[in-house]
Amino acid sequence: MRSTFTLRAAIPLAVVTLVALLAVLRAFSFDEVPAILARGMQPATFPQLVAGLVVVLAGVAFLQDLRRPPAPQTALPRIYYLTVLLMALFAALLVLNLFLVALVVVTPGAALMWGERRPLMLIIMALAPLAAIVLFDMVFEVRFPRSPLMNLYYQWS
Amino acid sequence: MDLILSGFGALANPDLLMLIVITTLVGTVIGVLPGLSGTTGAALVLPFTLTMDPISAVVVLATIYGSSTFAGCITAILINTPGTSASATTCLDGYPLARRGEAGRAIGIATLSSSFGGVISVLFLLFAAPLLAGIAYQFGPPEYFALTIFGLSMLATIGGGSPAKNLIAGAMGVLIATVGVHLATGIERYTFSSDALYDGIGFVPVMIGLFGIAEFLRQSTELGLKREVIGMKATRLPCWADIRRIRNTVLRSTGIGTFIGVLPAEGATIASMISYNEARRTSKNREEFGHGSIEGVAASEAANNSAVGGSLVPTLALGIPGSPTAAIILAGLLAQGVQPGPTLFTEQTNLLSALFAALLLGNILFIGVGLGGAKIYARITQMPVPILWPLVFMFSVLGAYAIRQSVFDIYITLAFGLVGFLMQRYGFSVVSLAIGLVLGAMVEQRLDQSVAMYDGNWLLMFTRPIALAFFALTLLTLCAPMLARWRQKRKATRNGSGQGTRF
Repeated sequence: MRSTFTLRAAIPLAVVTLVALLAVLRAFSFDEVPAILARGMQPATFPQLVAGLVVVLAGVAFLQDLRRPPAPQTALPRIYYLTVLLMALFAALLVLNLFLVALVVVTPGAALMWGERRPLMLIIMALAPLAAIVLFDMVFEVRFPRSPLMNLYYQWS
Repeated sequence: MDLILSGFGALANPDLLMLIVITTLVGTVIGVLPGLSGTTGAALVLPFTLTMDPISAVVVLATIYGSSTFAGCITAILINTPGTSASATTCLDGYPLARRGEAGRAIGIATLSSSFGGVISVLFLLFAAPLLAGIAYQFGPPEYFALTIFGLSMLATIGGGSPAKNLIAGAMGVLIATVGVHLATGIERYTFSSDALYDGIGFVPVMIGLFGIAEFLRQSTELGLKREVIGMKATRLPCWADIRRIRNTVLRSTGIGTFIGVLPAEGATIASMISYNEARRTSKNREEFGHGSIEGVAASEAANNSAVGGSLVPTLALGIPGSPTAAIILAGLLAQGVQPGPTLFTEQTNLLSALFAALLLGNILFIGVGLGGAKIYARITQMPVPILWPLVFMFSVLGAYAIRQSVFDIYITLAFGLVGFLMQRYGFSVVSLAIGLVLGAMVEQRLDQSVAMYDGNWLLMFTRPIALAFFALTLLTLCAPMLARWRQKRKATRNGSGQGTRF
């Protein structure tokens, strides 16, 4: 069955066009350099060219969608929004500089939310970030942001 | 031939052999972890090589480079997160194969193609390296610009969606690459006065977000679906019929990969993309591409691994690194007191022969690591979703952080995870965006240099035959779908009128 074009289907292309137009406008505020320094192009020229191209291509894609409308999207399940919320919680904990806590909460949290019920498995999932951090620290010499828990780890190691 | 024999003679040392085996395994682990690329691996082992003799040092660096590039395909196939940018194209068909329960077959195909591509490219380079270095010397900024534009034009047909939407995604990637300080003038662009954006948006966090986190979100939408029991099929390796089917694709992709790898640019990524497109164009099973084609996996992997050997040619012969990892190898050579240049091929034959022999041996070892491990790796796809994907999320976040040790990069990863999910949902290719981002800085730099070269008269670029040829190919690539449709329509009209006369 052929789907019909709806304004809803045009939203992604409208967002793309808006972002590209904002990029073009923003580029007008870039500083200009004297011609002797800008031997090739001014710093704003290339982004404006590319963003302009995006606007043109979005127009072409819109016309194509009008001729052959994309299949309508099914609604996203509740668990998707909960997962996004969990990611937001992760980001919030990062803002509070609680890197390790964020990982220890979110890794088993996602497993629990997605249906894992075995206590032992959830404990392993909570311990997995600790093991991964030790691996990245010891083998790849990656230093993690300081926090009370990380300080304990660094004192121990 | 003498060069190979003397190379294998140098590798007859058991310590050196053991070093190659260990380095191959380390490189494989590095390539498998999202965020840790061959460049990171080479950078990590560089300090250790300073204490080694020049031959061991070069052998270690080259083996890390080859094995991590190969291993990038494993995560691309299993969890849709390429270990390296060169494996981004492998996701297109490798992951659908894994989802179908054919992870072992996909990894096996990738292993054989990588290994074959690597071996042929090294053998070819043994004889043709000085000649190829001469060709690479013919490439100036306009030629590189034209080549990169040609590479970007391939995005139109990548991913199977609408060409216009694929190109939009690629152009958005190029636009994102302009964030940060403009290197030629020092002017800030789209930084919004944030120090974190001063150096631009890193490729690795974006890639991890677009592939790893976006897939994590997509998995959450499919939790309610009843999963197919894939059982032992997941660990099944490719059969002879598969190998026969990919034979020509691998040969063609190896040629493309070796040639493009020689050019000082982001060789492996462009090579895999062009090879993928070429494989799709010439395949009898074109409709399978993007849905789990073994030819797609073979094309991408043969090309990116053959580009590894190729990228060492300008590094060794001209002292111009062919890729970021080759730049680290160059640093390692200089630290050892080895001066790259045309004379290297006549004055340092021992070093070169050991390097080529190590690359050959490394490529043969991949078969063991890849095929031997394929059954084990494939079992990852059989892990319960609520266990596997939260772990992927954890490693994705750690990988995003590890590269620059910046929390800001984690925010970038999370944001691009959401963007990637929405892009896929609305028919935009995430592979196009990732490749646009990798090539963006290069396109601008080459265009800038070309414009400066001709004092602002950029039209003069079209007077250079190689550049003109690439521009013509770009035009052909972009017009090909329209031409194909027009031909189809004409054929249908002819058939229609033909039928009409019969009645």
